[in-house]
Amino acid sequence: MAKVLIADDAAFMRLRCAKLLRENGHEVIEAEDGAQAVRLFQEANPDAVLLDITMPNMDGLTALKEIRRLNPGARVAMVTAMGQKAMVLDAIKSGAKDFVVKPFEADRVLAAVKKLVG
Amino acid sequence: MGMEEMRFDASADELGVWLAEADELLQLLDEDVVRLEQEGGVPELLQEIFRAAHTLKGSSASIGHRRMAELTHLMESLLDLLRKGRRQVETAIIDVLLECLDALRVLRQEVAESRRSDFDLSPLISRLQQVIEVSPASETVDGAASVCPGTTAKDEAAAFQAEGKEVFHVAADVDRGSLMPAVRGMQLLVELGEVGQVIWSRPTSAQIENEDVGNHFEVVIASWEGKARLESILAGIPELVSWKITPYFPPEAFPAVGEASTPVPLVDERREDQGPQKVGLKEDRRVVNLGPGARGKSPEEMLRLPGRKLSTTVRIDVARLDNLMNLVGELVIDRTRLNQLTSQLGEKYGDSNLLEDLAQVSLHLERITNELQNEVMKSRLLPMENVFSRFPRLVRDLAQKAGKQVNLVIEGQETELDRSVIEEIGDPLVHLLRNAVDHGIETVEARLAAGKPEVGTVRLGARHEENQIVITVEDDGRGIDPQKVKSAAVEKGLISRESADRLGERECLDLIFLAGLSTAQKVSEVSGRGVGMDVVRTNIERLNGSISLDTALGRGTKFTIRLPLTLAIVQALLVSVSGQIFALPVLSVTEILPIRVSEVKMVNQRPAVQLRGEVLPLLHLDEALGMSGDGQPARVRKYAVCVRYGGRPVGLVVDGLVGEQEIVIKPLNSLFADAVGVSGVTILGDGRVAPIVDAASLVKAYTEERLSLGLASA
Repeated sequence: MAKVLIADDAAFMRLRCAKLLRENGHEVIEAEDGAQAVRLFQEANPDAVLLDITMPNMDGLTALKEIRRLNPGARVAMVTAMGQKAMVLDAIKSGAKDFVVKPFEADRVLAAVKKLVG
Repeated sequence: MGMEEMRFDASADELGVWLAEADELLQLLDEDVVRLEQEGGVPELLQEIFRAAHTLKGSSASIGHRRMAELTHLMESLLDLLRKGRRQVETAIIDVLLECLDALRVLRQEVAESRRSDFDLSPLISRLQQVIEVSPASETVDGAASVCPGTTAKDEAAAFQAEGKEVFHVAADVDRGSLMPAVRGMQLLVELGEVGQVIWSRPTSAQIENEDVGNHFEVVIASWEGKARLESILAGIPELVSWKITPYFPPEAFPAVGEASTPVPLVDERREDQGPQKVGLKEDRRVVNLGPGARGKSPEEMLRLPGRKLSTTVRIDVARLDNLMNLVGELVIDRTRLNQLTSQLGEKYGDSNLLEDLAQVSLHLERITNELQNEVMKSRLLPMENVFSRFPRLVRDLAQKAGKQVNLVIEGQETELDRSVIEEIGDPLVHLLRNAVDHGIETVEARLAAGKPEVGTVRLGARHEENQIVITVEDDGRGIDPQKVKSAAVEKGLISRESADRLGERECLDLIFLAGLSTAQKVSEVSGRGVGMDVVRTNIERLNGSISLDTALGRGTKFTIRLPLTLAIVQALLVSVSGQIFALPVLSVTEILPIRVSEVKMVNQRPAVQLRGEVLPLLHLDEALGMSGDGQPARVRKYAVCVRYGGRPVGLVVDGLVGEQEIVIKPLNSLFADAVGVSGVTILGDGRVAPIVDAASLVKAYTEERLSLGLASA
């Protein structure tokens, strides 16, 4: 299956998301903030990235731009809470391919990853 | 019966979760559809209903419950029409929605029992379809939205075509359940923009930024890549449920058919029929404008569409207001603490710019908190009219039964009062009005004989006085004779003749507030007997209020009730007694006197001082509350805080005065609930807890003890 990088500062969300993806056969790399996500993206070259928007050190939008600069073909979906529409719009303009709204449904996350790598 | 077994695509555990979720959603829908009928098509409400139906659709489809998915799909379509203002909320629609909910419960039960029911959905389905189909198509309502690529786009398209690029018209629909259709629209523009030049779009990118979008997007794009590439881009965008890519031809190639106002069909099937060439319409400057507003309506205008009832009021659960009041109460405590800290810091560190800033912030916070408190308090206010409105009828009936002529005059019914107080004040006022009609106002003959107008007048008034509400009930009747009250009390054994003889005129009148006393010459049908003034007083004191009376024989009686504006926050006097700080609601305090301990004399075996030639009975707060001294040498000077009990002053003796401030009343927990003389506690600015003295109950206990002493000595 795919190699997925997930970046979220919320440990529980990261755990659940990682567990879900692993159970469905994906390889998961976890980052706790945007800066770490960018570093791990370079190191691991994942097939897809799930970026939380609100993160310490480097927020999701900045990380997205950084990742797309490193690899214009990077497949990134944003993980967002309701009410962050404006940021999601910005992210889409910066090349994000999808978004998943928290609290997310398993199907939605899996579908997003499938769509990203497909 | 035809109860065939049903199987669903889920484990037993998962079905349990499914059922719980369905129950929750059905409950929500039940409440919301009823609200929809009452409140009309409020956007947030419609959105919530739509989401619930959408979730049900998704979850029923995911377990393979086809009938349920079909029904919820149609509901969703209908709700979408409502949401977009294409249908207005009306009884027929509410009816059909409620019927859907009933049906959904049956279908839910099928899942619970794994059995298909006999329930026939088809009549409901066809009704739903009818309601949906008679709805006008989107284009005709969104008249101004009949925008198509106009001349500018046409010219550009021709130019690109001249360069050898292909120009396409792309139409795409985003899933109606999408949480952010605007995001998908933007994604469409961005990703198509990567392989070509977007010449025109509807909605425009500005509109998409403002989320002024529906679920349908159209783009005209000149691309150096072929149609296949565009197809794959569209396929890669999540939540696009359908799309169509057609070569775009400038209008000249296909002369326009119909009027400029002919809408571009938005529905896929129709577009299929008519083909893209009809996109070309006659020139219309208005539609060429691709800037914001090209779709014709600003959000403000949308809100003004008929039927979108946006009420300026909302209904709020009282519990929520109570909670809000509690939170404001906490804030008030912190405000006071912050003020104290600021002044303490000022004393300690003197002049400092930082301190000045802190003081300013603290001052600002104080102002905001005060305003917030006022606003929250106001949001809980109801006009007295809510109580007063039933009184004209009451007084009329009472007068008729008593064979009297009474005119009720109501003043100040617009005066506003906390709703919790409003709820409690009705009964005491009924008692007072009954008394006024039954006992106060004389019969017509008696009035004429006394030279008064034959129609008696009862005045009921309410007004604000600073932070209090003053309610008065006044009659122009016979007045109350203190001597009659006294002898009635003696007759009924409430007081001994000896102690009665020692009572002054005012004290005699106060006997009216004792339980078991009725001054009516004969027991009247309406006022009953015995119950009355003591209940009135108890009720009012429970509200932290007070009641007093003034009367003049032959001229009339006036009861004055004073109530705090709210029950949660009161202005209080802080006093110290044996090193402990107590709070006394200011409302109950009439005056404060410095006294010398040496001035205190024993009168009737009770301490008292002279006040303006009259005896002021004293009650030592520490003794009354059962406190032992603080070990300090006996003070020479103390203070008597005068409180009224049924009109008569009693001095509560305290060691010192600490100050006056607003306090937030916290009820006592059950452990201390029956502590005599303390009605609650409050938290002071420095975090200390101060008991709130319930002066009324203290003085009452004192008075009754005194009366029973008198009785015992008889």
